[in-house]
Amino acid sequence: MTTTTRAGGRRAALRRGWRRGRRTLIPFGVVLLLLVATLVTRAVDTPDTGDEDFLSPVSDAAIGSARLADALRGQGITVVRHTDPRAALTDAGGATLFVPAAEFLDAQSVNALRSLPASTRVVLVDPPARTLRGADVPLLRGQRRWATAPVASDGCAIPGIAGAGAAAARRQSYVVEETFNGGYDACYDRGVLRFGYPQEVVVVGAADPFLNGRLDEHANRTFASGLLSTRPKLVWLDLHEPWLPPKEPKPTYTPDPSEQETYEPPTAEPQDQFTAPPARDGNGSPGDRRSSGEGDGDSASITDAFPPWVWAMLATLAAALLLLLLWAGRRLGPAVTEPLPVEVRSGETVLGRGRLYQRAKARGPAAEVLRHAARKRIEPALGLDSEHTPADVVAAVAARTGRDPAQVDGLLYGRIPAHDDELLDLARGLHTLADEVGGVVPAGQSRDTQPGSAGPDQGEPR
Amino acid sequence: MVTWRTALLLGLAALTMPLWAAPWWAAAVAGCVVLALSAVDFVLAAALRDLVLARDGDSAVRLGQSATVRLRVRNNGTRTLRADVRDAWVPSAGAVTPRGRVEVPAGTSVTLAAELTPTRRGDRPAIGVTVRSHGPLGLAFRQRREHPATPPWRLRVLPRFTSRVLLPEKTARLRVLDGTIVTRGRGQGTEFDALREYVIGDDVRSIDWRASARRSDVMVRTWRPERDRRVVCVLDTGRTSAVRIGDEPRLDAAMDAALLLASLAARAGDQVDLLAVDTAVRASVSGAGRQVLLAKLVNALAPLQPALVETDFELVVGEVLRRERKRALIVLFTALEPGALGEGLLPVLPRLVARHKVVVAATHDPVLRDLTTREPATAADVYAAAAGHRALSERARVAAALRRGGVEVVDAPATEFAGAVADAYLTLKALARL
Repeated sequence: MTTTTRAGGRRAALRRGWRRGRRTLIPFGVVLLLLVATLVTRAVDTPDTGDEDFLSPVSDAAIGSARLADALRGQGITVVRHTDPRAALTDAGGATLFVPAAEFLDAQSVNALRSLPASTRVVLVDPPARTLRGADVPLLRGQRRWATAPVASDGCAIPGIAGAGAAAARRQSYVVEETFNGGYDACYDRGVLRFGYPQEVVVVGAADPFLNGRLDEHANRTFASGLLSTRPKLVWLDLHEPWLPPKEPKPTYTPDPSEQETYEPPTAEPQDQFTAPPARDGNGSPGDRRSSGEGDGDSASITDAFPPWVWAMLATLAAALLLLLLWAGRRLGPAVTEPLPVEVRSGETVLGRGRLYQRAKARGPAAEVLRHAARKRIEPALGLDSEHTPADVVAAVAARTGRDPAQVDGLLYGRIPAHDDELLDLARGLHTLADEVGGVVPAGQSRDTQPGSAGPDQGEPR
Repeated sequence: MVTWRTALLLGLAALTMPLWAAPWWAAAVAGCVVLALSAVDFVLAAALRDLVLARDGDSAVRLGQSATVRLRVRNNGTRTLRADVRDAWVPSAGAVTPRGRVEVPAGTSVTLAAELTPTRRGDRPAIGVTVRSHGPLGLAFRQRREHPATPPWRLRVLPRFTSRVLLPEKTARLRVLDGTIVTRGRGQGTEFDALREYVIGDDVRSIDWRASARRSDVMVRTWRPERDRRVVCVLDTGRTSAVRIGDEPRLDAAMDAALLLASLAARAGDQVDLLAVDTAVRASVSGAGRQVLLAKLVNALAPLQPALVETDFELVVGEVLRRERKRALIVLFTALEPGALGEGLLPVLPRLVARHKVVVAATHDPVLRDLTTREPATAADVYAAAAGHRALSERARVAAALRRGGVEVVDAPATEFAGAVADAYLTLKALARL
């Protein structure tokens, strides 16, 4: 007997399964696709502060700022571009110092912001918590939006941008420290704040108003040029990577706080220069710590600690492990399932009923059933006729076994047991009594194969 | 898909990284080389679409015995097939299939024999064959679901029929009735067989005086048991048949008894029919010839499984009355349970008894006897014993009610059940009450 392959039905079942799977997969797939598309678009769209073009006065890219610089020059402002913070700081006296990427400033330069001449305006774009603390600006980073939103200026009193109109100036909003009791101005839903120190510090919570590509949206142009044109001169610090100070003054590996103080005024607390603050607002970007580490210029990264072949070997071994897992994960055909037959344990209902009796403490009925069963077992053995009284039975049993009639009567016709131990004693007593009398197992329990009564008419042939 | 060898190769390449001037390039080149080798190996593996699978072998086996089903793998392609073949059966088929690599040169075929020792009665299907075709280097393999397509196979596992051993003894008793071994006597049959001359020892009451007058010799009539009676085995496959008696469901004990009864009745020259019913007719055999009867019965019984439903005795009686116009012996295999029989069978029983002779055959639950005769050790035992006594008395009541209704009741433990049913049949036959 031979059958050849015919798997049409199975294939149809597979197709059905796939269709059923697709019904659940489609909505999840659509959601996943939307999520991925959004995340990718955002990642592409978000300007990177480390980019060469980012807010650079000489860049025409969408994330550069050449158009803003040209507009400012058109207003008669002198725009000076610096790539060295030290030079920018010395040049900034009485001018506007514009710092688009404050996280790349080294600690000393940040401290030096405090000692600028009083006529200076410092504009910081989305500065990290470390910079705020280093520059002694009493601000904590508050809520950060996922993307920049245009905000109405609502009666802004900051010179230069008062009445500028709605601008995309808030991505990061700021909270003024509670201990600060001086005066300040807050605009654009706390996205732009100004502190009047000896020198003026303006913190802007988004880079968008200054970008070439965004300059014409909303009132961004008015906002940006107004903010940067309050002084005749604009010093533009164009930093795109962590700035490292020249190394020659370092005598030892461990920087000495007292030695550091020689650079800057003694108001600075030495610790601030070396340790990144442990993110007081819990919102510091990872760039903080890295730039602070590199600002010190001495800590090597873990990638330099080992030769490159170690990493290459690890990567290759990881790939090999992945292949091994793929191989191990591919099974030789699916697991086999099988419906199991129904299985009912024997005596299930009887045992269950017994447990019910026990839970209901049905000692009376149980004792009565047991006594009845024992009598049924004993009576045929005693040869009593059908018309007998309990007294007859007791007398006969006592005569047969030599027991005390009162005790036999207590066993066979006694009172209801008061608790389970008494019931157990009764059951055992009945058992031994029946054994002594030599009762047979009643008919209901023995096999009964004799088919009915052999009637008197059995033999007559037709 | 790649094998562990590819992973090993890549791992070995990883260990050589310190030797290279540009480790990252070396890693990239090693990865590309290994993957290229795997790709080549994959391409060189025998194509799955050129494989053809076919099966042959046993299609039925008695429970407890072993069967062999062979799977033939034919390679119609142009490359040698080196493959792992998994022939998957359901677990209860007890399949032992050859594992390991098989090598099938192009244009030839190989046969893989699966040894099956099923653990359960019924139909045991083959689920699927998976072929993993390796390349010559063992770096990559091809494997696809349903490629090549699995040839279907179904192994029918027949009931054990352990009571076969009783058959010779019961047949011997049947021959006693038949008069082939000992002289037939009065009461040993009701059908007129022949007239023969009187020999000393014959019962004088069987002398046929009229015939003696004609032949001027003393003639006696001889009798034989009736032949060509009808016996109907009705199996109740409802919820009570699912209860385990010892190690197997009550239904299996009933099947065993039904098969013995059918074999015996067939030898006695009676027509045997079968019906399995719960809420619908699950199996039926009728009008089978004597030669094929047992095979047909076994085949019909094999796939039966207990269902957790209340048996519809109305349907049982209706079916029996519809099928059996002539008077027949109806043997109903069920359980003596007050709920099922008292409410289901007793109301409809008179209709059946009016036309047929009915025997209700039920197996004991050994747990009950154990509960009621053992000396109790804990209070829980006492309560269980009381419940057991109640169940026994209820069963006795049902049996009494059935007997009052003109039904024979066979109530025996599972080990003696088949023999008891056969004995009941023989007794009825001897008494000519079929």
